[in-house]
Amino acid sequence: MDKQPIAIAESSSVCRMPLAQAFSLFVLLIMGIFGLVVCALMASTAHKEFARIETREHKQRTAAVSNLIESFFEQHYDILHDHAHFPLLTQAVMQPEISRAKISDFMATLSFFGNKYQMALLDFTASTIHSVTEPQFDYTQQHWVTDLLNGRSDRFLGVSQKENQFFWRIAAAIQYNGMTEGILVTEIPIEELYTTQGLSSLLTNAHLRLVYQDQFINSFGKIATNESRQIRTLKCLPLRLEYCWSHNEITAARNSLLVRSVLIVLLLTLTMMVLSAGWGKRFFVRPLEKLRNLTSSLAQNDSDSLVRVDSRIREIGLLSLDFASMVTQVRSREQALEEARDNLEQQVKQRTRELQDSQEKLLEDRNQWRTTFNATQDMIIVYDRELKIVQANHATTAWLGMGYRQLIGSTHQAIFHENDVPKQDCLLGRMGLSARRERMETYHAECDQWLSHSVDPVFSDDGCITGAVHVVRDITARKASQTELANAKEAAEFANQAKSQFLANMSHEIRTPMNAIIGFSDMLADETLTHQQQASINTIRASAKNLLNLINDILDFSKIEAGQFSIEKIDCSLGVIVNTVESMMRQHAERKCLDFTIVISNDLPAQLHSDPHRVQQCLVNLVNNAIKFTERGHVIVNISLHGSDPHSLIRFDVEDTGVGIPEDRQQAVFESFTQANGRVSHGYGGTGLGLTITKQLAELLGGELTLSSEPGEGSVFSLVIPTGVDIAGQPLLNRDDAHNQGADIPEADDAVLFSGTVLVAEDVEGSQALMKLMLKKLGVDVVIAEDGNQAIQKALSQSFDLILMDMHMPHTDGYEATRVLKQRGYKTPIVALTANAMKGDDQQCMDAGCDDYLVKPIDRRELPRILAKYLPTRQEAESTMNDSESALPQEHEQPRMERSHAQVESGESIDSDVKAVINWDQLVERLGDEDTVREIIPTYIDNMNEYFNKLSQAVVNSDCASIASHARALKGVGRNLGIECLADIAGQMEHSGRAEDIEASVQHFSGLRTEIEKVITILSHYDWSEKTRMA
Amino acid sequence: MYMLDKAHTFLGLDAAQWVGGILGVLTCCYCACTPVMGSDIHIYLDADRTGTKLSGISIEQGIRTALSEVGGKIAGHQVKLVIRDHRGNTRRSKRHLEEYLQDKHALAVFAGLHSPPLLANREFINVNEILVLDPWAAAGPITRYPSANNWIFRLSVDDTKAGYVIARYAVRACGFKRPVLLLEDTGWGKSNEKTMKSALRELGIDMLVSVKWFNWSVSAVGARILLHEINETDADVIFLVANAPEGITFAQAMASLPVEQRLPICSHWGITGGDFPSIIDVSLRRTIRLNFIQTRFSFINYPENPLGQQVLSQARHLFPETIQTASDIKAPAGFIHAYDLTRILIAAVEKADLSGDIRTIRRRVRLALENLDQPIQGLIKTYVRPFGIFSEENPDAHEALSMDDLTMAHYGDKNEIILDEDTHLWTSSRLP
Repeated sequence: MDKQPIAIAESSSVCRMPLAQAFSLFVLLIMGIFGLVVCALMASTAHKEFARIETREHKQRTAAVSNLIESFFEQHYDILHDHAHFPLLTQAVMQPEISRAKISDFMATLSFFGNKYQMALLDFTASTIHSVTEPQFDYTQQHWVTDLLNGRSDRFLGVSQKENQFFWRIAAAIQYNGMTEGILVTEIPIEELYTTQGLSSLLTNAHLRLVYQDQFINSFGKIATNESRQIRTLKCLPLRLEYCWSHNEITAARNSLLVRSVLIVLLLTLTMMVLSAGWGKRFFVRPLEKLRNLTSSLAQNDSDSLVRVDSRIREIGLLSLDFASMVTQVRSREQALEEARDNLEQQVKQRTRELQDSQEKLLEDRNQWRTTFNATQDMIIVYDRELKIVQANHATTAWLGMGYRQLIGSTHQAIFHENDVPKQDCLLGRMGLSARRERMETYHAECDQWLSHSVDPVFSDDGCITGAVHVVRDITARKASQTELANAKEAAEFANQAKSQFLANMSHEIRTPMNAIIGFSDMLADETLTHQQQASINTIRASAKNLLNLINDILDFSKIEAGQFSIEKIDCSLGVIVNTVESMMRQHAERKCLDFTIVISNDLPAQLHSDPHRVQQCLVNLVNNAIKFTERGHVIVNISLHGSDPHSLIRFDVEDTGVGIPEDRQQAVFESFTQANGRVSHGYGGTGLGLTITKQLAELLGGELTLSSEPGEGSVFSLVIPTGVDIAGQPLLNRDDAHNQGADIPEADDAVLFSGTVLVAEDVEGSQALMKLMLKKLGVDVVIAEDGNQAIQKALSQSFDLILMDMHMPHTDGYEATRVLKQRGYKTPIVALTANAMKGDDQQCMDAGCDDYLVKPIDRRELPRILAKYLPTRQEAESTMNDSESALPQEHEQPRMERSHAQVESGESIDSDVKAVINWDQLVERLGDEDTVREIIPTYIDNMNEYFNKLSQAVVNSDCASIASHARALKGVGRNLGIECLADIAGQMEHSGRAEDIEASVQHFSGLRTEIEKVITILSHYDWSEKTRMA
Repeated sequence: MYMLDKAHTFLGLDAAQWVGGILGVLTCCYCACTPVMGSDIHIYLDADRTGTKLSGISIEQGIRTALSEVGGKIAGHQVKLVIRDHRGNTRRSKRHLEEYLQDKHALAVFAGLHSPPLLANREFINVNEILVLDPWAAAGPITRYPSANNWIFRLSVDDTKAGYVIARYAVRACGFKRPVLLLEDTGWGKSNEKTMKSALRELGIDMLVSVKWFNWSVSAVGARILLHEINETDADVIFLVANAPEGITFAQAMASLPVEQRLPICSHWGITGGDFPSIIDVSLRRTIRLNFIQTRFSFINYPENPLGQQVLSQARHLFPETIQTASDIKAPAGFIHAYDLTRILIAAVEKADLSGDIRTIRRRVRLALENLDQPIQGLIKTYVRPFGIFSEENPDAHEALSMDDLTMAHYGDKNEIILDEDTHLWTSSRLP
């Protein structure tokens, strides 16, 4: 530090010239050179730029001139071309002799922009057919003419000369049928070019020379000295344009500009030199001198003398500041160094203390761990990487009966029974692979012990497996309790199954006699009876039906109690449910003269995702209940949405004006076998199970059933269940649509009689008799088989049209008999009769090979429907007979004649839209006459309705077997009526039903629905009975 | 002879000059008098094979088919067909006639579809004794050169009769009453104007609605303007005289009009000479009503005609590439007429003495044509004295066909020409 001032003093003594002088000299030199260089650059740039601009300008002008000239030729050629296409010229070329007079007149009128030039019409030999104005040219033997006539080109542009005068020659081919047959040529005086608009303005201060095939033709504009030229050849003809212009003017302009610019630059340079010399002294030289003084004082360590040097030059100011801060920093750094050393010593002491503490803690932890390790009941073994034991707790040594030292270092094989070693290898091996916890259980027969093993890998910090911890627990006790539990469960399930079976059997056993009771009382009711008898019969029927309802209720209740009651949630139509309930209950309500209304809010979804049967059952129960307890007034079902969230609830309020329920009894009505008033039941009957079942069903459906009531005023039962669908994305309910989906059960036509022989396999005598009676009433011959064996024998020995097979019979039951018959290829349809109302029975019947099934007790209206499916009606049978027999019975003759008369009348009145739907003619041909067709069509409409309703139900239930069978029935109807489209879709649906493809079935179903709706609309619109009556 | 050279001179020429002169004259005479006997006969076909190409080809096929029946030889001479395309240009046609005159083997020229070349060059033909056989061109004056020195023979529709057939068909068969004539502005159009007017007068229609003229190459716009003008009159039918290119233009223009403005067209047969049916195709033809005159034979209407069958099978054999069925013969009139005319020519050549120079032979053949006494079976009919000696009193002497050989026809769905049956009911010259 001390030597620095000396060095500076030495270096300053080397520079002899004062700073101010050196700076002025430098500025003078730089400015002088700058001025000279600028002047030289300006001169050179101006020269080049002027030349470039001039050239570009004239290039553009040349291009413009050339464009103008080309457009002159193009325009004139276009006009000539148009002239050449006049049909008159074409004809003149083809037939010169005929058109000569017309041609001369015509060509005299041809002009170019109002100017008329020499023009000639040449034939295919280049001889002139006609020419207008002078001079005349000879065109024969010219190349361009040959080219044009041979079709090598279709125009010519060139220059011609006659008597020292030049012409522009423009020629166009005259074509007929695409072949050149002549030429129209014109000769335009060369000067006409200069009349082109805009050309003369482009040629001011310049002139244009035209050279055609190296021959100078003409020039235009004034000629000057010192010229440059641009040369351009036209595209459309070999004409060279030489555009010449004079440099004189532009050179003079350039020089004057240059002189003025150089003078200005020199003046500016001089001014700059003077100014910069003055400023240099003020801004640089003086502050530097001050700074020098400052540093020299610093070198003498006179720190207090630090003064800032003011300067307008930023760098010099900063330099002085930097000096000041440098001195301050040197001093503070010395101080900090001392502080750091003290701090470091303190930290070393602190760390040493902490290390001692942690060692003590570790030792304590280790003791705790060891105690725990040894205290635990489970065996804990720790392995190293080679699966050698490195640690084992007391439980291990105790269980193995080995000393700790003996154990340490041995492998895991030492611990296990030799049979378990492979398993253990496997376990540990797996662990090595999977690096996670592995478990297994082993049984040690010699000591009747179950052990559970769990092995966890031990990882090092870098994630490598360094060993394993193996925990072995005695689980013999747990195993024993598990086994006990399983046995108990099995026993319970068996008991439950027995209960189910019992219920099913009970159902069958009770229903079978009920079948006879209801059936016979129905039959008796149709007979002519005394008033007393009729009353008795009605009582029997009502009692039996009540009993049946009771049984059904008990069954349902038992099933719910047994947890067997399964809820099957599917997408179903709300409309169908509502319509079904209405159709079931309306008559009932009307019989009691009650107003029955279903009120539907307009925001309901068309579809629900729920169990349609159970929802329907709930509603029927509630409505039935309401009707039962209401003597006058109304029963209203209000259906609305409950709540407003997307998966909202639907609410069914069943309101009546009945007896009402006191508040203290309201809870009790939902309990089993209870009615509001013990006495009430005597008045109204019923099991008291209905509401209990409904409430439980509501809960099973995920909803609830509530009640609000005022005694004497009436009650409102509210069923609230989830819709199960996103309402926002749903179409809204339209009940009219739902009507078509067929909730209404069409009434069977009692008058329909069938033809054929039916085998009834039925073991119960009462049932036999009932079946016999019912079937005979329907016009069918009946043969009875006592059991399955008899049924098989009779079926194979005699011909039947249909077999009604009771499924529960002694010896050989209906399932077995059906299976045997079907295996032997027996074709007659078999309808199962089953009293089993349990779910899955229908499928069991179908699986056995039955074509259909009827639930006992057999509904009087159900039987004809089944018969209609498989047997021909009397009329059908008769019409077939009539066709085959030539001799008609006398009594049939008259009606037939009348019919044929009617045919003539009404045959024409068959609407074309009916014929568009059904194959009328084919049907008439097949069935013999139009009246038969008229008669059967209503039956078929009914059938179609019925099968379709069933089919839609089957689709709703996703019941593939039923889909297949009903679709097949519909296919049959379709084929019978000759509605092939319907039959085809139904056929496809049958197929998809059989393939258990529910999605495809649903797809076909929508198509089928459209088709059926169309057909039924058209056919129902037509009054068939009316037409028949007319006959 | 050389000895005489200097000794004897006569008329300033020495002997050698005389001998050379005489030899030269003799050589010339010999050349001019060289009989075609033992050498080829050249038959020219000068027709349009550009604009109405199909007509030219059809005529060529007819000639070749007839020639092939005699093994390509007439009276022992190999016949060579020289084909020229005049494209409808009268001057080019004349140049071809000049070429014929230079050809020592050229016997006859078959003309093509266009009348103008024959009309324009009629003087030249008859003065230079060019034997012209016309299987198509229909203009009336072609065969009616007012002199006994008439060298043009026709087996085709003749406009002096065509106008009558078209007019009778339109008025008697179709019941039209107000025809408009739409004619090409050529000699052919003009000759038709005359006959059509006179035919209409004969049918009791004295006042013609209008006559419209058009030039060759008439544009689509031009055609529409003419049809609009016709629509502004109360015309109910158009009599069209046009060749295929202009016929196509008018048919397209007619189809472009609104339905209620479209008028039925009864056309001369010029439209059938080119590719009319392939451009005015079935779908387009369904939008307009079009009938045209034809001679009364068709391979399609008379499939059972034995000569027809034989000719068709011969043609099939000769032109396997192009002809498979009757409907493959496009522009069939050219084929049929050229075939019949070639058979007549063969009969005449066989009858004539073929010795002497070619000009003499042409005279003899022409004479033979005018005096054929044996019937010649053709496709249209059996020709009994098809031609006679022309005079003012016998204007049809060079016409092989009469009015009874003409009928009207239309295009079928396969572009074939179908003749109208039972036309004798209205073609008869008797007034109904």
